[in-house]
Amino acid sequence: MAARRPDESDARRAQWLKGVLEPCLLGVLSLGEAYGYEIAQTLERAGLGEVKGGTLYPRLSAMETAGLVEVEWRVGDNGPGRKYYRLTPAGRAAQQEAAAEFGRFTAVALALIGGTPVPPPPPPTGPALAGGTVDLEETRR
Amino acid sequence: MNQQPTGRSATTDRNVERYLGAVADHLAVLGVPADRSGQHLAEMAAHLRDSGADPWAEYGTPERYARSLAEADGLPARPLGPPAVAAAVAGVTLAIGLTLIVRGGRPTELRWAAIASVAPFAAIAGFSATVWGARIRDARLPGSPDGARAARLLVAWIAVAAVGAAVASAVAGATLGERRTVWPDVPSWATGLALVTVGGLALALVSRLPRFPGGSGLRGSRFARRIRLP
Repeated sequence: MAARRPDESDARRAQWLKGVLEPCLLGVLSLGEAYGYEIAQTLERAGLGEVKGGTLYPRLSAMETAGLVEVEWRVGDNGPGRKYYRLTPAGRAAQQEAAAEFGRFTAVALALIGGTPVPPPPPPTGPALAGGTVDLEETRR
Repeated sequence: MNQQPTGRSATTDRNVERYLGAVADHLAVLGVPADRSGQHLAEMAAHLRDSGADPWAEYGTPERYARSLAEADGLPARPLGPPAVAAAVAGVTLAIGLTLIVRGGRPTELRWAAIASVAPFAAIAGFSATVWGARIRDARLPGSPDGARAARLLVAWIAVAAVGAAVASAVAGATLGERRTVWPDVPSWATGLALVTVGGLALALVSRLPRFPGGSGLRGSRFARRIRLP
């Protein structure tokens, strides 16, 4: 099989980034408040690649609109004001939920990508099943 | 976390300023309030100052970026906002005024059907001036993809609106119009001149509003003044 070209790899990473950007932003902000450029640098240093402002800020704005983050402007001494983001209680809950869900999701995805057979998830337990046996004749009627 | 302030040339600063102005135009067209628009622009300015990045490479086209911000703010895309409506009303006033001036010294008369028939075309002209005008301003910026096309479209739409308004006015006046003498003692040209003056002043006033595409949410925002822009 021919090796993938670098631009294909970049496009693939960009596509993945769309799916993980918000959970990653929640995670970065769970470590403490930060302004946009700081967040972009943190993501890049962590190995996610360059996150353009055109991708980052609309997502942060959407999180602000959704009440996941709150913002505070601080006037700079020698430069423009900076907009600091920090998690709200709702944002912290969303971060913990995303961490748990994403952990399960990536475990399955990694297994599938690695060619490991993945057992089907256990069936959901509804009230009827939890309560005991189900009368099949009743359900047919 | 560290930041990397960069020395920037005057050309780069002008490029950034023009880019921010273009985004402000598009945010205004999309109906983003001036104060919110000022926040977005100030954040962009801070990011560009820290990173030293080219705004086109960092954010893409002003139109697309403004649209993504408006969507993130939960605002529906509505290119026909109050500025366009105000421009259209001023356009109708100008059109009626010019028609009356052409009538010369005859008494001031109006045909309501003719006025009503002109209104949709004035709305088209206002819409075109608002949307395509903002894109033409992008044409002054390097790398703009569709400035020349926007200019052609603006001229085409204004021409279509003008011809449509003239035809509709003539047809409506000849077939439907109930001619009503408004001021028998005032010659048409005088009333027309007054309307043209009022319409022109209204258009000039509207174009200076912060939310009009010709204005700037950046400079119109109290917020922007408070946080010190570069």
